[in-house]
Amino acid sequence: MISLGQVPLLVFALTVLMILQMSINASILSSAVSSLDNEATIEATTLGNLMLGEVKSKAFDSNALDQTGRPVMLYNRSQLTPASSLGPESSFDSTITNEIVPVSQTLFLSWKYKDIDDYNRYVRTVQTQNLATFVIRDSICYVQESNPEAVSSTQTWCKMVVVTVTHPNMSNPVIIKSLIAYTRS
Amino acid sequence: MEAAIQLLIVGLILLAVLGFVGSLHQSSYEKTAAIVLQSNLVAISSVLESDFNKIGYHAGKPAIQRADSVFSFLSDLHNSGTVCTVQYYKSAKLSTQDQGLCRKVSGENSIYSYVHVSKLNFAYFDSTGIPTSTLAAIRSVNVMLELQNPQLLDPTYKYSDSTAIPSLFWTKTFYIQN
Repeated sequence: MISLGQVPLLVFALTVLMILQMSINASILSSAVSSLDNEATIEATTLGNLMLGEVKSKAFDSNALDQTGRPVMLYNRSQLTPASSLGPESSFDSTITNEIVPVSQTLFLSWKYKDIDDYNRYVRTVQTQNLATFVIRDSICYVQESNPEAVSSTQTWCKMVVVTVTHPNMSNPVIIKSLIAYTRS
Repeated sequence: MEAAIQLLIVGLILLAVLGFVGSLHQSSYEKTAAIVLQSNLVAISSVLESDFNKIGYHAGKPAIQRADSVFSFLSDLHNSGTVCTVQYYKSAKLSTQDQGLCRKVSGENSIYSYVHVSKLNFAYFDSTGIPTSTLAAIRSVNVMLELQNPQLLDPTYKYSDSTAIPSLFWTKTFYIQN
């Protein structure tokens, strides 16, 4: 039989083993969380850049296109859409601004939007095969031409696009900003 | 009797330690594979971005030579005045599952990256964003690349972690500027 003197040693050894195992398990879990965060961040960055590319491919302003979709030259800031009216045209279906699509279909949504303004307050939920849903939110505003960090309440020749991508696995959202300037060409 | 009990206790402790070490190894293997997958994707996407941003650079029109599952275009990749033909396609290695990405530049050796490509899709759009296959009308190209975790290629391997990610994707639309 085990002597009484050995019992505390045995209990101590088992306790040490248990604590060690628990701390290692916690470390494994923490690295798994970190790995999932990284994977979500990579895919969120991809989706954010895809959205940014889509926005940048559009006309600078709804007034920079005529009824047939051809470019119209603008020479005065007052010809641009007022800052308070940035957003989809009223003729748009309201459901268009909250779309839920698989990632393979995001490419085919692009034709619905004509200009950068249409993406203001736009929300797209993208479903991916592995990491489920990413929520992409867009925000468009005018910024001062002399100081692009400062938002302008009046029309300017520069618009700031802010794309925010969130996912439950990410501790912080991915935010991608880009400045778009009007060019007459 | 006393020896048997001691042996049982030692055996139990040994089993616990061995199980513990085994799970550590498996976890380490899976995490390493995930990191390799992430690193491969980032590296490949950098190469693709570098090349695709130069579609048609210093080249005549049409710059796009082929637009199906193989994407081929003209570009002065190195800004040396020499226009070369660049080709991208998915290439098989040992099995249909284990595929790589091939980058072929005229005048250079082909580069095969066996990074377990599970998907490589090209989609071509005209100036209005409508899909097209007419070479001269193509104004943007979308690339969808998906890399698979190599562990999936081993059917005997079972994930210890049900949340492990089997694959990662990267996609980008390139607007042809040149």
